[in-house]
Amino acid sequence: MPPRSNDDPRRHVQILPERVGNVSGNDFPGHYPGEDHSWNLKRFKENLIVSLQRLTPSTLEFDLVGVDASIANALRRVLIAEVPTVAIEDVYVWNNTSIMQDEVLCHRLGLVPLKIDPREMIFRENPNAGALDTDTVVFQLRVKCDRQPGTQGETDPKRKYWDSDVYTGMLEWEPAGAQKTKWKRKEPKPVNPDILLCKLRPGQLIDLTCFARKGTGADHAKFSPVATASYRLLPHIIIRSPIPLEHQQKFVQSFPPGVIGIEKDKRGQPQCVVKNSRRDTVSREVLRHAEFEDKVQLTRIRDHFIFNIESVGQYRPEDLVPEAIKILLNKISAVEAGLDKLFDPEV
Amino acid sequence: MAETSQVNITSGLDRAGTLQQSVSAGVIHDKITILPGHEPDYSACTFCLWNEDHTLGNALRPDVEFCGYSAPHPSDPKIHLRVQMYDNLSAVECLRKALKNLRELFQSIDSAYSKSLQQGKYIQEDDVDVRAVVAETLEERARAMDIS
Amino acid sequence: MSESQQDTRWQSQNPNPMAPRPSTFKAPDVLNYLCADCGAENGIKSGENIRCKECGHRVLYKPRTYRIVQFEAR
Repeated sequence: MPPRSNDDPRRHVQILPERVGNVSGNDFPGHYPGEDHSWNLKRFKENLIVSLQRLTPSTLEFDLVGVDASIANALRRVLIAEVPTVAIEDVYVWNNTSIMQDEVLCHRLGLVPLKIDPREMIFRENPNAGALDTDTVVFQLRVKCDRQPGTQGETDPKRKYWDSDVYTGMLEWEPAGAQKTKWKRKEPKPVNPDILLCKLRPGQLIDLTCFARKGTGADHAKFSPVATASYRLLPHIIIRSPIPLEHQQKFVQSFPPGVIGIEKDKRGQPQCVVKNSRRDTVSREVLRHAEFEDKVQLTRIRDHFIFNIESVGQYRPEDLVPEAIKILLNKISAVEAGLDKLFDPEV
Repeated sequence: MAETSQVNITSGLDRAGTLQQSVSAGVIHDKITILPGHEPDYSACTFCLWNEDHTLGNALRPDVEFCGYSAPHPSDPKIHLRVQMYDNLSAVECLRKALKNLRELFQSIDSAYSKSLQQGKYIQEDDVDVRAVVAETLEERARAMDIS
Repeated sequence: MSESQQDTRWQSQNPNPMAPRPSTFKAPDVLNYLCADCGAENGIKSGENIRCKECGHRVLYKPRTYRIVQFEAR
């Protein structure tokens, strides 16, 4: 089968001035008479493209081509809500004489991302049962603010007082049970030690114990491993008829820089050419101008998803997608097992 | 190759519940068999991947007359998935086949992803140092103000 | 290494150690109320006038409870 072209109108979602057209996919059996669109794994594998584009220590951009929107959306949803992480869940406040209320401070502590590998912890099923070293991590936060001697006339609180700012780096891990040996080389600590939690003045102190547990983003957003995961469809710009010379500069400027270029064609005339439609943000600026009305068509490719994933720090960004797929496969197994359970006693 | 060498401990939370479905086994099309609801419901929020008009069950072959899903109430963690077949075929078999295809689909995405990760044809760079960029911009603006 | 240098920046720098947590959190016998103005502790016995001993302000706060409080970090 020839490789599918980006110009195939069946793959286009039309971006029109007032609406979006041709949104839903229709390559299912029965829609096009005479064509066979039934599920074919081999054909799917041939058309599937997964290609990573850019990887940094915290972000990942990759392309997923050849799947339906529902699959891409499922992947995105699982990345946000079902990949588990470890975050502070319970806080025992022994003392807090700062001006930040207990509950506000505890809320902030819950949101602190912790660098603990969730794959080494289990979910805590029964909240009334005792904590195990495999499902709970304990942190202490004990900070006292005092005046620094000999700093009369000093205005900067950092120089005037000891510990006037409470940072996440001040959270101390208390190993419990087997954790001491298990995590000897990779101590649990906050992903960012420089998040400001609270400010103190002399005489104020904070003394609390935090218990971190494994959870999912579906339960509380603090457990989400991504500082978001999103996708967009690849834009595709079709220049239907040549742009006249006097409008070419305006045409180029109607798109973000790098999308449209001016090149000399075979006859030596400068023509507008689509250089890199990936950089387009589809602002539809070009559709606002009457002179380009019939000359350009803005579309998006329906099954080409450009994913952008930013990890908070608990997982490496390249590890997030395999984890998400693992979770999806587990869901499928769970439904299959459920089906078996449902029908076996009857059969 | 990025190895995930962690000990994979599963807990009871991952145990299979059953999903509440209203399935017409194709005997009489207007009879809806609601399976007993005493089974624990399965929180299936990401089953939205069963798209309305392009379910994998539908893509199986032209045996499926109707396939759709709905969430009866957003606060309830369940969905109703309705499958109707032609010719008295079994909807349950169709569901099983669809799940199998779905599994193969995700496995092929996974292997294509690992392959692409291994090949390393992508750009690898450091994170943008936000503090450095901010400091630089402030300096530039200060310089521009001094000049003007 | 610069990273460890940076990390110590976020650790506690106060040379004065915090008092260890008391093993029992029972309230002491004489309650010290805190003045709203000057923050001085006044041991007010029952029947006494409600006045700060140092500045004469008539609003006194009860100090924070001696019990530990548990919160869900949500």
